[in-house]
Amino acid sequence: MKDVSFGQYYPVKSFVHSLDPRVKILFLIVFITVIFVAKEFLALGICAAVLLIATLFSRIPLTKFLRAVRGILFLVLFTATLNLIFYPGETVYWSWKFLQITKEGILFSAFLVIRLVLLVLCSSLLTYTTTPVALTDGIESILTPLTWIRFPVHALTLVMSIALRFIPKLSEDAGTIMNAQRARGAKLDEGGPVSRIKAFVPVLIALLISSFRLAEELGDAMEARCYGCSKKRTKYKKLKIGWRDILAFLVIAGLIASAVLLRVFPQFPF
Amino acid sequence: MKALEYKNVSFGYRDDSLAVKCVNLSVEEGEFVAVLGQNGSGKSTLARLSNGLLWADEGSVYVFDRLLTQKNEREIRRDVGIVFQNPDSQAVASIVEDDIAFGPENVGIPREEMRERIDRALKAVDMEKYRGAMLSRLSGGQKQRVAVAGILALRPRIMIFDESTAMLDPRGRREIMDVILKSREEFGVTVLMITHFMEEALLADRAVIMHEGKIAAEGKPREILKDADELQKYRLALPKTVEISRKLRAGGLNVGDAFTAEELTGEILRAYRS
Repeated sequence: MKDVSFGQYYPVKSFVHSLDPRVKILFLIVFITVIFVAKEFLALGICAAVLLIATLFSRIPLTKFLRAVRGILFLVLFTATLNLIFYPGETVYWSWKFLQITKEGILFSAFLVIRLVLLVLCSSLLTYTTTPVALTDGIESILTPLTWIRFPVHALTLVMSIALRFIPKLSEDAGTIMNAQRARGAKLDEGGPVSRIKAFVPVLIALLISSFRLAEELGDAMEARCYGCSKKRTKYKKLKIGWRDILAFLVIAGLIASAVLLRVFPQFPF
Repeated sequence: MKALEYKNVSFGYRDDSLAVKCVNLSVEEGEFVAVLGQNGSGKSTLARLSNGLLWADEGSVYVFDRLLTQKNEREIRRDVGIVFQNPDSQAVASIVEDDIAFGPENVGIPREEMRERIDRALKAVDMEKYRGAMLSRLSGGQKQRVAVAGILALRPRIMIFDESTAMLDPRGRREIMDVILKSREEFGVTVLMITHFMEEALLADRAVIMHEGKIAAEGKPREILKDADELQKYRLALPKTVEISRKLRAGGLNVGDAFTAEELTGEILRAYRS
């Protein structure tokens, strides 16, 4: 609970940090699409290589990324195992009743593991190198066309920014509540999954109440700071596209191009 | 000119008795007024009545001679800034400067001026070094200073501190008191400070004691805060230094009432020398 490294900004100065958030979001979207559309290891290899280069340019310690992967380790192993024993295939290596391990199954599981890991690594790269504010600013800017149909884009992104800002606070509160209950004899990390979940209910209720209180106080503070006072709002930070962004844009275009090429010419001899 | 005026203001929460009963209070422009009182004395309600966060059931509130109504509350909110109690529940953004920008953005300040305002606000609260810092990494006192800067950047004419030091450690409390004095000097704001720390009220021009929703006493802080029996009635205690000096006097050392630690050491030294 204490360690909420996933989705936390890592403040250093780097090429990736200085990129426009919109470019980075676009990169993430393209990247995810490519890894889910790709059917060849080569395509994933290219993605991994691009991501590795981007990671090296971000100057973020690799251990941070390992920790992010560790967070989904269980999910990855679980899905990989299931696919390994259930995936139908022709070249059977081992079988027992309805379970079988096939060459195709192994390949498919490996593919899945790489996909999931790349997915987490890429989204971590975005959140490590982009402040929550820049991220929401980027999303706001991308969604701006929706204001034409009167969609409350600013309210939506403000909600996101506040949610992000309260993640550390809520995790701190959860820690405090858990310790307080442990001190009074609550067994939060003993027993089977069912009893653990049951023991967690009082923690959740206390956390819910404290967050309602926080929300009410925040509402007052926001009103006192003139939220909704004026129809025309200004923005402190303006997003600007620079040469770096154009460079990153070319990388994205290259990524799309190679993905398309691989799809069109699957037998492309490299 | 009166900066803030409550005329026969009463307010009750849905459940039971009145939280504020027929209060008459006015704060002159440029004045620094401290409102003291026990929990539940109605002092925090008073702050929320000043800018339409709560509406008086009876009576009226004036801000710079304008009657507060639902129509002009948005305009009046620009003049009345409130810093609340909890340092963790006032910020909307994760980064210091982005959070300070929230108020000016809301009222549509152009970007260039916003930058200037943020610079000055950060300087006034002595947090220039933390401009790009994450709020979650700061101490309670630092977070609260950012909250003050967030209000200063709106350039209000009155600042209300609603128990803004209550959740801080002694160091954080001192920092906030320094910031309050500095903002008065720098921006000439009128200050209404709600607190239950006697020591903080000593820095004010005038102290007001609230008890059970009413104004129970009013006057110079040093006059009000030396009557132990009277304070006892409102479930308040003497400032620690006054208490110590009286105990010393009862023990035979000839010291006068001391309101600060410096005064106390001075008194004790003087008593020993004579």
